[in-house]
Amino acid sequence: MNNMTAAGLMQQIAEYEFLLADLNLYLDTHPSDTRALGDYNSYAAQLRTLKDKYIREYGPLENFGNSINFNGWQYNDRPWPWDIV
Amino acid sequence: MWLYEKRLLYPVSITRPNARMARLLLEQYAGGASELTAAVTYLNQRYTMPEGAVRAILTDIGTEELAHLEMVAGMITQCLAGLSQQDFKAAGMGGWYAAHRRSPFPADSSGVPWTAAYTVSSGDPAADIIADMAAEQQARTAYEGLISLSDDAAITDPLDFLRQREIVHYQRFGEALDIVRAS
Ligand SMILES: [Fe+2]
Repeated sequence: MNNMTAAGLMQQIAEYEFLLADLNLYLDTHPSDTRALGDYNSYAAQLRTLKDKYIREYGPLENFGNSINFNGWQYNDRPWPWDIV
Repeated sequence: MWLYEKRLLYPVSITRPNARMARLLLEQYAGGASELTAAVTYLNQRYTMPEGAVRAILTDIGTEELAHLEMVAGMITQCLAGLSQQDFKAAGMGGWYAAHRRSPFPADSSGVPWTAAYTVSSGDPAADIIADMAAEQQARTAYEGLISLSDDAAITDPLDFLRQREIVHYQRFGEALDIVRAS
């Protein structure tokens, strides 16, 4: 996970977060599945690590204080999600 | 409350302008069985659900539908980017150009504005969830229609992602219905 490009890191974030969204829906209706819960918590910790790395190197991902803007107010900067990159 | 994350749930990168598909995609932006209808419906229904699990699934699927809405808006915006006024006219979309230029807007593929009448919130937990299951099936069918009408893999690929999510939502709502009936 060292020396990853912005796009490579973003793709990993997208994959983890998709997996977590899907597991989240599953756990909503299967709250007693301890194996799924274990997966959820371990993926969530890995996602946080990936996001923190992205935010520090390439700029904020989230609004309202959930991402630190390390290098000026970078939140405004392109690309926005619908920009063709 | 909600937090924004500055990325799409699934990447969209359409580099070939496509007036015809932009108009067809409006169906899933703000038509009867659209992402907008799904998001508003589920997020409305959750307030009076007695079960925590059902409140959770409506909140989370409703939230995912908002992320789908952003994907469809992104697809429409990218389809329209680079189109000339002449291209709009040639596609029979002079009205769209006059009223909205290259912006998406909440109407269906025939131009009928979105209405809250598409949404369901009966206050009866089982009736609401059964309606949601039907809505997910309709959305899946609509995505299959759009996929068969698409002539660009950059459009078909995210549509197939969205189609598969509707199948998962249908499954989760089925389990929510069991929870409602057991309570
Ligand atoms: Fe859905």
